[in-house]
Amino acid sequence: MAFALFLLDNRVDSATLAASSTAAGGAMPVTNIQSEARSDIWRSGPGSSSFVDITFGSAGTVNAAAFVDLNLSTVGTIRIQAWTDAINGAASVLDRTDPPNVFGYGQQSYAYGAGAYGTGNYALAVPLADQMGRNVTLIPLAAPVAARFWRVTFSDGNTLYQQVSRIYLTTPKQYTYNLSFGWGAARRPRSVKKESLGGQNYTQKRDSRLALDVAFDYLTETERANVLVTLQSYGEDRPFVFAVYPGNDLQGLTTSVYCTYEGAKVVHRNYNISSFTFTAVEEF
Amino acid sequence: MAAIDTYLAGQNVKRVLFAEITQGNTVFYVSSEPYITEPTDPTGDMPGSLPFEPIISKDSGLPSFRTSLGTVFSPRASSSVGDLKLISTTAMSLVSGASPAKRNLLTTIKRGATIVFKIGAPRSFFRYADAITVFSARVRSINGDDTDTVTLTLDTAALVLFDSMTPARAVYGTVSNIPLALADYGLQRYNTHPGGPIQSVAAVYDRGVTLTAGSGYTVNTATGQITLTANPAGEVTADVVGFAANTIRDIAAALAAPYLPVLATFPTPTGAAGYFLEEAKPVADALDDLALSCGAFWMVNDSGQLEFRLWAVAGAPVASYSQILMLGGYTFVQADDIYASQPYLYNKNWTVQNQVAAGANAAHANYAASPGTGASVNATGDGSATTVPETLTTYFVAQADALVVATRICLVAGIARFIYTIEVPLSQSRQLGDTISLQTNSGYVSGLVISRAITAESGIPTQTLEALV
Repeated sequence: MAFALFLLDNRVDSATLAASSTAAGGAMPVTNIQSEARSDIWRSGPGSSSFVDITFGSAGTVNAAAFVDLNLSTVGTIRIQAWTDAINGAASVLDRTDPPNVFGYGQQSYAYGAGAYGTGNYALAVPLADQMGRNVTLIPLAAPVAARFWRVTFSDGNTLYQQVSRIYLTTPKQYTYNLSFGWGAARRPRSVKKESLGGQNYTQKRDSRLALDVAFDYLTETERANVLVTLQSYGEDRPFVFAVYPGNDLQGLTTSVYCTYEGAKVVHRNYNISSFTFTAVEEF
Repeated sequence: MAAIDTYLAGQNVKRVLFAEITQGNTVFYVSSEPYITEPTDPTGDMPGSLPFEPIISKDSGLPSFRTSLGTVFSPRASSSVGDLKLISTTAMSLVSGASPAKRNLLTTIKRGATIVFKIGAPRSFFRYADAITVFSARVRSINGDDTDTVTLTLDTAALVLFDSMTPARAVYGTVSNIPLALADYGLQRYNTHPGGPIQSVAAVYDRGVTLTAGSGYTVNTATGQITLTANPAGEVTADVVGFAANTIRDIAAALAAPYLPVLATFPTPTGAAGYFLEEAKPVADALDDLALSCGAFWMVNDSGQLEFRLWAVAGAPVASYSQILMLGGYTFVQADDIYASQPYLYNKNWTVQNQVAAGANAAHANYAASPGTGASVNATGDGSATTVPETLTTYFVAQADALVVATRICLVAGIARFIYTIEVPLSQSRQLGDTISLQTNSGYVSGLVISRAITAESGIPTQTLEALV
């Protein structure tokens, strides 16, 4: 099993971006990908395929890619390409295609309206018509890739446009010893209910937050110092991607979260042994 | 597929609150949940692919809103509205002729900005165009703190009508015996409607004595001025067809249009009417006069338009509420004011004059056009103790229109009625004056909505309706 990982400092956030197209009106530019606000979305123009070109200031190593709230269906593809000389250049160092990571079962009823949920099976062969179905597709790369020029192409014949909230290309943070057994996952309900005379519950549905309680019990001295530096930088308000099981599958999907720290704490237990406990709380 | 009102009345559904905040030619789009329209969703000036800014605070949600009526002799809807709290100072906005972009709320929104609240469903279920409009409001003040929280203290959209004044000495439609204002002593020139134009002058009186057109006075309809040929003996009055607003609806529109959009048609009688403003007064007070004259009440509807609606309890129900939808059961209380009859006036005489000295001038017969006094309309009654209300002054020229109004008031207030109160999910936006049907333990009854209170205090948007049954 791959170790749990953190996607923290994202190289895409300081890169130069260009998209093959942007939805008419210009309300969702490609620079929204660099916004930490999850509700800031880049949306392509009409079509079943589009790409985003990412140019770093200098070549850097990338070990993992992640996509937050991608709207592709299960038949869609994500193609990641990298070059050392130029976008679409001669010196290709990476060209791989992966499926998106989406929930493959229904979360909504189908009785209403004319949207995607209303006319088909949610996420089976239809796109997410909006970002209500939140997801994180995490693609660990087989080997580190050093390149300055990147292109990510989204394709899905089921979609009329492609959209994504965040693209991560970075070197993930992992620790020498993986997190300890006993980690927990829970969803924090936010819906409110009101009971009628007859006992019927009228619910104002609100999305629940995924909360992962984890503990890394065996950090080294160096890792502990790095954690403290990270906590200073991120506090409890700057979002990042955390995955218990990093992988492009259902196990990865259900344990990967765009989140902030809550209650993060480091305890020095013994020589060269520190514990790092926190709750990763999903950010909307 | 079920309609959105069925969806919103559901027991377990996600509802999205929208607010469109308009300041001049800039509209901000904010919501309680992330929401993006589809490329195929242009609505009015709003383009497709527009992301709403999900910055409506969970602490605030839908502001509370209440609007209610008094009795048939209280012709205005009184309203109040709570605060809207936003958790950011920037939001997606659209400026006419420009692309949508995030702009600063604080530097754009001013006192008086209008807000329209809507409730809809996630885009996966319904389009933004399907969302129901809940109510409209105006920004009274803007407060905030260093957390970038912005609290918009709101007032009802009708407030502008209370703060704004009518013109003075203005004449609309057909009026009798209005006092004229001297504009030029040397020329013996008098104003009717300020600046004009007017439609015509039927008669001019000097202390109640009719003057002869041409030899006695001339009229300039373009400026609305009357010029006498000789010094008058006393107060000068006139029968005037003034500014071209000849029905109650058009007169109300002429008064309110500078401040609010006005619904194109009112259900009020469309017979000739006239209204004279001797002094400037709040527009709301003038609307009171006009609405009362029609057995109606005025309000600013959910879309922000001035509207007159009738006191009438015999309309066809526009919605039916079963007990399943009643979140807290129902209550009823007996309504006040049982009238035995309704006296009324028409063709109002706008000047009270003393008797002039007796003389040979036959024109004295025209003295101060008497008001029309109709016989009281008697209520049917149901055995309850009754009172006789004050005389209803209407601004109609013809008795028939006034009679219709008096008859309707007797139908509403002439028999004992009950006010039923229910709380239901906010799935349809009801208006004051709607007729609704509700299920009591004795079966369904129909009534006129006379109060509407919207709240989301429990998290569930609900509306409490009072119906006069």
